[in-house]
Amino acid sequence: MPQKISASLQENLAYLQNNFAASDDFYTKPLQISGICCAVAMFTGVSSAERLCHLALDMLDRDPAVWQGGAGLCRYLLQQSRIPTEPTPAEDWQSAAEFLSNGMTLLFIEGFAGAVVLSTQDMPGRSVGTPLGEGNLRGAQDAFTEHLRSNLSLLRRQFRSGTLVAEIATARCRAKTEYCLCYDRTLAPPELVDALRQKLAEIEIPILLDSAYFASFFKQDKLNLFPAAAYTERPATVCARLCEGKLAVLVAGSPYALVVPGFFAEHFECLDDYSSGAVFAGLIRLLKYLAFLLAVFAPGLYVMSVAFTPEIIPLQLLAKLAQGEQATPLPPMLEMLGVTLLLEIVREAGLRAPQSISHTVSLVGALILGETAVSAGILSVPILITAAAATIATLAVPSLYEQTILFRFAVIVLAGCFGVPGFAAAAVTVLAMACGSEPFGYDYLYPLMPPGPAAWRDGFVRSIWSRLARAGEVIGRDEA
Amino acid sequence: MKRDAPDVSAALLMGLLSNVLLRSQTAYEPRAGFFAALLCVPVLAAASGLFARGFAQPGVGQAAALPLAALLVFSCVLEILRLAALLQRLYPGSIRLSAVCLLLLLPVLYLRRGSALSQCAYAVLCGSVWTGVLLLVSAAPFLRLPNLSAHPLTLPQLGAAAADQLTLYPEYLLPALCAAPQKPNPRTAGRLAALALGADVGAHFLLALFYGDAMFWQADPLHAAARSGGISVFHRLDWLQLAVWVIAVTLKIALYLYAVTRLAGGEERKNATPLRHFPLFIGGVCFLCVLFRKLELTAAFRLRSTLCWLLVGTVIAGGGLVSLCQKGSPR
Amino acid sequence: MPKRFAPLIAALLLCGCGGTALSQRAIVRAVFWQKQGSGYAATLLTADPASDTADACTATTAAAATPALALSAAEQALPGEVFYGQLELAAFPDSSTWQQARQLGALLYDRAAPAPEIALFLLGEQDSDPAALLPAMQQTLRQNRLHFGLQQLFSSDAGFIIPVFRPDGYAMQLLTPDAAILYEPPLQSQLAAVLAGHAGALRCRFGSFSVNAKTNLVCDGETLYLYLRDTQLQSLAPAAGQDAANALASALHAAYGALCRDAAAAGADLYHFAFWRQCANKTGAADKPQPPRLIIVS
Repeated sequence: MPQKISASLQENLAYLQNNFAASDDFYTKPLQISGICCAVAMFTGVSSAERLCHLALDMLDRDPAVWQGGAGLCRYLLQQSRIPTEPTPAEDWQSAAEFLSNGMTLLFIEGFAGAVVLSTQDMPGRSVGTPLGEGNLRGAQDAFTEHLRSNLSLLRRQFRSGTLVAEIATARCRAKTEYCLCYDRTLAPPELVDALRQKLAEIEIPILLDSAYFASFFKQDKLNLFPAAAYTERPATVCARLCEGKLAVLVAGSPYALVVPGFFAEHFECLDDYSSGAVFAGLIRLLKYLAFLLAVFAPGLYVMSVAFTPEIIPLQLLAKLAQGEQATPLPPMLEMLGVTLLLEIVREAGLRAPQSISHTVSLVGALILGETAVSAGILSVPILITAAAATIATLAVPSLYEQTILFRFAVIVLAGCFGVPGFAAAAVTVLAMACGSEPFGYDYLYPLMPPGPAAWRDGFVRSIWSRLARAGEVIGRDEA
Repeated sequence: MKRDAPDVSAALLMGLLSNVLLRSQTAYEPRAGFFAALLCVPVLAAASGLFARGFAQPGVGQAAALPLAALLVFSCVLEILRLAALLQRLYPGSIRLSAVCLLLLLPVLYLRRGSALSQCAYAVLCGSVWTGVLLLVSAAPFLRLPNLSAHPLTLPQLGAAAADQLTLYPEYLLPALCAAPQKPNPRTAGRLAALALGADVGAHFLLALFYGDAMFWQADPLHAAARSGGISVFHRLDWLQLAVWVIAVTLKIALYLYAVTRLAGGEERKNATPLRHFPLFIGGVCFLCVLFRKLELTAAFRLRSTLCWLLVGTVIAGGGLVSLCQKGSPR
Repeated sequence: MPKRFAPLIAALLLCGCGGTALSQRAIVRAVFWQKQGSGYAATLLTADPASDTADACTATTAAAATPALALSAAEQALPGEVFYGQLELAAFPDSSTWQQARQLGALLYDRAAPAPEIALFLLGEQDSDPAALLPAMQQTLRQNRLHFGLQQLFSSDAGFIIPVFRPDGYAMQLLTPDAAILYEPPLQSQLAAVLAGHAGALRCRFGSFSVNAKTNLVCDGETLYLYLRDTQLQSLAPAAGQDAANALASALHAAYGALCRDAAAAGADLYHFAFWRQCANKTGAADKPQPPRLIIVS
């Protein structure tokens, strides 16, 4: 049971002194408002004393009203005054601490067992910029930031109908991080909203620094590698998903929104698809599917063909591959695994290294792998080309990067060990994972499987806008 | 799409088609097969439909559950052994039976839910159709109309075709488990039988166009035909067909496991096999594969068909008796 | 991944890391059998990985009393594991009977499991390097749109008509259980190939003319239409004094008559006339029907 705030100002000040005085950014000051003893408390890093002074205290000084004690002052502030306050006062120290962390100022009043919460937030934050992880040629170029309420405002600016609901709650974690569940109350299936709300409320996690921390709790099958949710940096994308009846979860401190349920086909869609012509957009989408297949299966297919089924390889290539293989010491499977691992190391090093040297790391890594290793006869050119092509193809679908890499390794190992049956086993495992994933009871492969008009309307390719506009798809309603 | 009642008809069809694809030898003259199919489709559909009705009768389903489950496990073993034998013929010495067992059984982990099985079956069916079209296009230059036999059909030919087409596969019995028991859909069985036998007869026609009289002694005729022809510089597309066939067998095993789970009953098992049962299933099937590895497969498949017919007959008779008793008993 | 599945995964991987390196395979592209006295010589043409050109081959020959032994001996003489997956062509001795040809075909199926459509020739004794035969045979196949696949040996029990390799084209050998007839004149042999469905072009000299034409056949049971497309007729002798088209027609009719007589004498419907007659529902009398009338359409 959280401890209640006392009606005695001195006791409250003593409590504040004991619990927060050790922090140098904690500010508290006793004062009087029309003769009534009060005290303000705030964290200076996230709250503005100047705003407090101008917005609240100056207004109070100007008001000629005479209150009857602390309770009367509190009543005036909460019900009659124009001063921006929270609608209900903080009545216990737990909520008081949360308000202070959120950048509010607490006004303790002698004789009132609570604290009026004044909105004086002034948090430092990154300004709205362009998305770093999602490249698009057209469409809105703004991206979410780490500030939850700013993100909500970006969303509200795009989703202007009054049906957008944003439920803010505190996660069950040590840092009491806030998150926000957003949905369109007329489109989102009520059972999905209830299920997600309940699931989020049940999650207990030591720390919540990113929306992705929630994702593994949404998976029905923990063995499945496909994600149950999608991520996006773009408010425009979230807006589009909300219009499909999906839900979005924003987490304070994370610039990525979680969209639930996430479907496989969404990883191959982008905003540019709907800004470009239907034919070109369809072609690009098909290319992405092809890129995904290439990224997952090409290295394994190469290893399988040279070790088990050379009849696949055109004769003109066969001699060159045999020469390449003869010149290197490792068997094809190990060589392919080694090259793939090295490319991953180079990628990781380029990503984590300080910006000043990341370019150098990538260049040196590529040169060492590409030029020197081949010249020294450690690696063969065909394997390097295949691995490099697969790596580039992976980047065509960046949201499935983790899954692609894992599947690629599995395909290489199985195809290299067992040939065609191993390749088939890997393929059916990937397919079975995709088919078996059911985010909140929805088909992960919708609308691709079972194949139907929806797959061609906005699945593998997309129809022209006049047709899309006739039948906007909403989950829970349009799926048979 | 909310998956409360998965439709496994695609999985059933894929299971039946895999019998066509993995046939190690052709069985009849195509024209005889066409005419025999006109008779055999209604017979198979009737057998499947009546089995479903009989199985739905109180007491009959419970009595038949264990024999049917045993039949399905036996079928799993036969399918693995047949595929292993095919792989040994095509790639001698490159893969062992134990590896084939594990490669086929482990992916079934991800197909333990009926909804996953259903979705996967649609995808594999689409894949099979595409690879079939590819096979047809690549081998089309080698199809010769004069290879077809112009001799008049004889009764023994028709009889041989009918005998082969009346092979009863477990897939014909599974609609009894998967559909709503009070409303078995007769069209499902009819559609399954028609599509399966249609594919079988079609495959025989194509093989006759390809091989002529040599059709009957060619081993693994479809795979050998897939070796012919190519697309552009890529020849020998048989590996692609084989990969699809391996996936189809995995799907079949997953279907049988799903059916066994439904036979075992229990609310939690209604639409998914619990994960904790998998070590037993995988270990058990591997053990049986090793035990029966020397089995003569042609005779074993004939035995399975005979057992299926016996089970069907028993269930139909039992269901009929129960139904008569129910009608005869005073209200 | 639950720990209980880890032993299964380990077992899977320990079940075998199979496969053979490309460099350890002897990739056989063609198999030739030739008669050598009372025995046989088998030549295996393998792809040469050390060469810069893709078509370069090395030949390995071995002799033994039977074709199977000769083939085994040749396989054993190869460095590395024999791989027949890229087998494109096979050749049998030109003295082979119908029975012997089928036996060699069956041997090839048993040992090499080739694609059923690999090209087949009969081959006489050759002075040239065996490695040079493969490109020459492939060129003959391409230029003449010729193809006799391995499965043609078995598609009919009545017999077959199989190409015989010649440096300047090909001849055709009719082989039935009871007969063996060689068609040497180019126009006659090529017409036989076209009628049997093994070729799609006429590309040869006849008399003092030459012809190069693509062919199509349509048969309605009573009449056989030979369509010639993109026809190039050339007079080779300035004073030929005869219309090339008429000369071609006459030569074709004469060759057709001879081919039909030989097929009838051999008792084999090698050109599928009975099949087309049945398709056109013209079964005729119980006696063997007359061959269809040939009409040449340019």
